[in-house]
Amino acid sequence: MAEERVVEAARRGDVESLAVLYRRYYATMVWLAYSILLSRDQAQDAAQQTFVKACESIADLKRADRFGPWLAAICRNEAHQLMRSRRQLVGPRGVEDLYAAQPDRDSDAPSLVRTAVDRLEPMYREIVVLHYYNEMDYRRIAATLGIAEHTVRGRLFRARRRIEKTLRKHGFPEGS
Amino acid sequence: MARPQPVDWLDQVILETKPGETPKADFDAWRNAHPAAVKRLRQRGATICRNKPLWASILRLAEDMGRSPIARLAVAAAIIAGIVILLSSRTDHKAPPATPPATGADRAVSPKTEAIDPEDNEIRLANELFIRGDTEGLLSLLHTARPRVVFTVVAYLGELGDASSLPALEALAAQWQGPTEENPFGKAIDQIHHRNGQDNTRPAEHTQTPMVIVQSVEAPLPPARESHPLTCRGVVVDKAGVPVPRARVWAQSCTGDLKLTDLATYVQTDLQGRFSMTVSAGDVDTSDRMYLLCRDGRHALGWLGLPADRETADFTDCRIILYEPTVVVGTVSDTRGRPISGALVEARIVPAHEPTSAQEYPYAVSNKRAVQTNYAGRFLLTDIPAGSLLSLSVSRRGYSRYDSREGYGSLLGTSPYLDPESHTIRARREDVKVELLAANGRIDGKIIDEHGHPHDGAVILRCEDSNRILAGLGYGYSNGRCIPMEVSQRGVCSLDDGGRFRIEDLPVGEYVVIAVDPTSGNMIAPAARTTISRSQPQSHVTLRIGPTVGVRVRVRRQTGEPVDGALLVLNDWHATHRYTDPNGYCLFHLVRDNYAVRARCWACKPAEAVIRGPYNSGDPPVDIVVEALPELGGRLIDESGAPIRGWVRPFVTERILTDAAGCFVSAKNWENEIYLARNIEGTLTRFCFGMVPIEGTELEFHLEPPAVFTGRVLDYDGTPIDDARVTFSSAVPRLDPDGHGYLDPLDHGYAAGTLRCSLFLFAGRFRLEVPVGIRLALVASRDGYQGWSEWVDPAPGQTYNLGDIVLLPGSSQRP
Repeated sequence: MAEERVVEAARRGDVESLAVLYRRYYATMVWLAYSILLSRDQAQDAAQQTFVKACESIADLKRADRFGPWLAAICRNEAHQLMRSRRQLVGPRGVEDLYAAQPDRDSDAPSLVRTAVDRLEPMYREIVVLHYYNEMDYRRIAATLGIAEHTVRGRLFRARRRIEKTLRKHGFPEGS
Repeated sequence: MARPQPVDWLDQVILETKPGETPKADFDAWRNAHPAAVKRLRQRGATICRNKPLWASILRLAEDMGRSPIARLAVAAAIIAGIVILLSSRTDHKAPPATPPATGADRAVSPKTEAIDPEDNEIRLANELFIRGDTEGLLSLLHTARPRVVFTVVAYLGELGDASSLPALEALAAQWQGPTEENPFGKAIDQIHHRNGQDNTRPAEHTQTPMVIVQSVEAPLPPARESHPLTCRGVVVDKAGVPVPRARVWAQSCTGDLKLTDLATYVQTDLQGRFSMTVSAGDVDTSDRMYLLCRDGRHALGWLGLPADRETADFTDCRIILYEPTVVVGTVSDTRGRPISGALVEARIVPAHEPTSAQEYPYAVSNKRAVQTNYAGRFLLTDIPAGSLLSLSVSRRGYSRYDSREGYGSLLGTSPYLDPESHTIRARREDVKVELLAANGRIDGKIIDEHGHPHDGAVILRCEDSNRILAGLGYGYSNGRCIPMEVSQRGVCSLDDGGRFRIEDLPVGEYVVIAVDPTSGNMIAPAARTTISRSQPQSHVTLRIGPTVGVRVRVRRQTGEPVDGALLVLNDWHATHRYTDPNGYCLFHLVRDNYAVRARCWACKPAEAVIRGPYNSGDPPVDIVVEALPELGGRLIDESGAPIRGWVRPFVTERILTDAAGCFVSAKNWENEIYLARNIEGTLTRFCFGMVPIEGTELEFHLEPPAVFTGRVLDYDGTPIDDARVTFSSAVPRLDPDGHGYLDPLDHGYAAGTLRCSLFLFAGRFRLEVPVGIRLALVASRDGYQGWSEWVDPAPGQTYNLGDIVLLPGSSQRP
């Protein structure tokens, strides 16, 4: 309810309320954009642009309780638009290529894990990024993305299983 | 609820891959960067506020109605009935005359609206706060009030004159989208400054009515910046505080995009080191920085940043400190000791004992320098004020960037060699070692007069690097003026009492020593040539002063119109450059000798003339006629269309620097001329044709990563050749005057240093970066061997391995 009041005040043009929302959602939007762009700098650009777009259209927001999903949708659009405009291929990098080029496996374990995360489908990747990198629990992720909590739990479970499978396939030292 | 703790190894390894820290939300920065968005939010919010009672009630009613089918039917019936009544009333009566829509002003004066408009409540509140002199209350209201009330509050704040309201007003002034002279926040800021300038005490009582105050604020105020000239006075001293006489002092301004503008011609300091000059700062924006610069023959360039506040700052006590010039020589190599050529070495120099803020100066002029390593991986930074703190950063494609710690390499004393020191840094493929070494080359000499006696007058000895390996990047155009680049990259010293001089800190190379009079800049003796080698790092030269003769040179166009500001250089020695006066004349005082003098001016082909030895003062001027060229404008962009800061280089003239938006204007020598374009960092480059593909569109050069060619050069016995020359040339399709096509070969061997088309040989191996865009011939050659060449059409960013290139013996070596 508290957030709905803040959103409502922001709809009326209250900049301080917007500041509250900005501080509350900025990091989440950065990580959400990162899950698409795989670049911190570009993700920050996308997050900032998300709030610009939000300022322009927050007056049209019908339900204040859906602010998080609404903002996340804007952020996804911005990230995709940024990716298209910069024509960057930020899709999954080839684990095999990376692995072949790096004979010292232990020293490149973080790269391998990150590559495995990057190779996930966007639906799973955004959950992993928000959960691990942004340290959000299932309930907050569900509220932000506008999906059910059990859906978050299920996607995260499947994402973890896929990462684990990829790592085991390349002989990643378990339990290290 | 906190996120659950990681339960197994997978959680841990994923957490370890987190790319960077959690981003911090800086709303103020975002707000300052996007003032239009905040403005839009307020505008739309204000609309919602006015409409909210009606729409909110309708929506609430609709929601309630929607829950019951009976209610829905009732609402539908009511709507139909309403429509019928409305139609019947329109058909029964004449339509009323059209009335203009109510304006904000109409609403403001309407007694009915006034009774319910919350704006008036806010205005009343603002009035009360103003009468009480409550600045904090007004500031609170400023952030929450409606737009119309905001202007009233701002006017009150300006009238109160409390400086604590300045930050809030300045933030709002920066967001103002309208004309600057109408910026109410700016007016209030000026009013506060004005009040605080008169008396810093806040008025005890305010008896004026608010309306009067609003009018007084909105009345036109005198312009904030008056275009009056500034008078700068001061003294130039050396680090010991001794005044420096006859030093040249001039003033420049620098915009945010590093555009330099001369504000005043130079003046010379008197015997007490004092100077006084008038600086025309009227056209200088307040955001631009102004500098006083100073140079004399014995010291490195000195500079002083002038205060930004031109209204109240004191410009009559400027103190410029000059330090001795020093050099830093170094080698960039990888961990295996192989030299890395084409690495960009950037140095940031902060003179010690001085406030840093006043010593900042733009790139390439003073405290920031950039040079590239040569084929041997060596670099040279000169004209650095002794006692400076130096920070180096080295970058090269394929290697990670190297940044020395702040203040690394404190240069102390008059011969401040950097101690040899190695820094190993992590690189992508292999480590880079930056090794700083002292240059131990030295030229000793003396100057004698016509009778063989030691000369005891003031003379500046300048050392020109004749082979242009370490520096001498040529010429560039900036703001329509030709500038000798890297002019300071030369050894400089002065005579002692016995007419002797010593130029130190020189790396291996060939040098020309020129004796220059410090006051006039004229040569007083024929130049002497000498060589510094690794086996003989010391050299000795003797310069004999000869009688000089005044040589007038005139530069004019083909139409006879004199050329103002043309750069004239003798024998390509940067030490001897002069600019023509408005009548196109320039006077050189030269000892009798033959000189080649070359004129460079904007949108003209460089032209050359020869000054013959028997020239007499009464002879007619040496005439140089320059051919004017049409101009070609365009811009550099990358693949996403973003502007690139860099330069373009037509092959018959010098490079043209672009502005921050990537735009350039170049002299157009002929149709479809080929240009080499490059960004500052050297990471993107391309050969481009200077012709717009579609008439009416803007000329754009799309820069791309260069192609890389690698290979190994062997002789016919299979022995690697370490000193072969690998370069590239092109053949550009052209049309002759009869319309027949032909291929015009262009040699780009000179490009190896300046274009970051690097070449380094080790065990015969080479790596050459080549701009794409045209078909090129790679050439490998060495004296005594037959040349090898192969045509290639490289793709951007691709690496081609040419394998082993075997050079066959030349005719002189054949058995």
